[in-house]
Amino acid sequence: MTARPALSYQGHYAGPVSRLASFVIDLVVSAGAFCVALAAISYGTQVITGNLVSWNRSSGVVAGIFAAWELAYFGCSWAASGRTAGMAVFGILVVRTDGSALQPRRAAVRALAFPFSFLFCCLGFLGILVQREHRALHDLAAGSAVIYAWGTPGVVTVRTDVAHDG
Amino acid sequence: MTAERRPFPILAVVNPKVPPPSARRRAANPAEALAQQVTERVVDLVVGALDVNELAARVDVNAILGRLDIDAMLRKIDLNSLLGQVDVNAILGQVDVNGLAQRIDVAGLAEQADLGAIIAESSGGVAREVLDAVRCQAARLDEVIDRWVGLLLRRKRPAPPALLPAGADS
Repeated sequence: MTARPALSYQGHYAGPVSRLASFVIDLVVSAGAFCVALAAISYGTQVITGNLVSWNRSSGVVAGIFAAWELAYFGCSWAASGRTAGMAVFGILVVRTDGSALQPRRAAVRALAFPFSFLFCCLGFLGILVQREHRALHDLAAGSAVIYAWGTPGVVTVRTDVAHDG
Repeated sequence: MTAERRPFPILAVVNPKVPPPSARRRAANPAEALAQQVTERVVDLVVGALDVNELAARVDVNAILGRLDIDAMLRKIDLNSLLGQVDVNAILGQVDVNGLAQRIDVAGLAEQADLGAIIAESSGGVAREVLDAVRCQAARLDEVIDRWVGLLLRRKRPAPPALLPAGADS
């Protein structure tokens, strides 16, 4: 069995392994950045006020800030470039179902719908396995799809000739 | 002891076995010497009067070289034999490698070579290749899982085409 060349994957719908691996990287990166930010805030507060600030993992405030941070991390990344850090590592890209670039509004919808995919034992992710275009619940909600897009710049270019409804 | 006495003293000077030189030969010897002296003198005068630069300027070197069959000449030369006669070790033994190395301006060379850019380019290329290999591996696993799921679900239709075909610039 001969291996497919990298170019032949470009533009095809990305499967579960690439997407899960990129999500794990994103989780590590975003959680790491969050911890660094908390540590920096603690250090700054201690320097300025002299009081030691400690963060409790079970605190609802911290959980809320973390959720907002994750939402911002994924939403802003998808809106800005169609990919997060982990997706960039694995060369996958979020686009609209017609192949055009994801708009910020759809990126926000995708980010808001993303947590719902984890409900009921990650039932929302089942679509990545069984759906022919590997679209999860948040993809269906936002009208998006995830494709392979790496290699030589310009090999896969997001379509710009598609008219959008706004 | 008595001194040897020759019956004919002239035989000490003349060899009777050798025929005497002819009259022409006897006249020619002084003439030859004179002619040689005259020729040498003439040659000296001619060489002194010649303008070698002007002569060289008149020579059409290209025409001469055009007549030469250099390929044929080179074919006749046995380069292997020539090279076999060269004692490379002896030549290298005479070379002061340390002295040569000390004369090389390594810092200047490194400055001109922009080693930083070379290292960055090579390491970037290696990183890109590793990243591409990882991406391909993940994509292959995706493909395998997709095939299994297709078998489980008994899909008959082929996989959907690429959303954006490779090479599309629209």
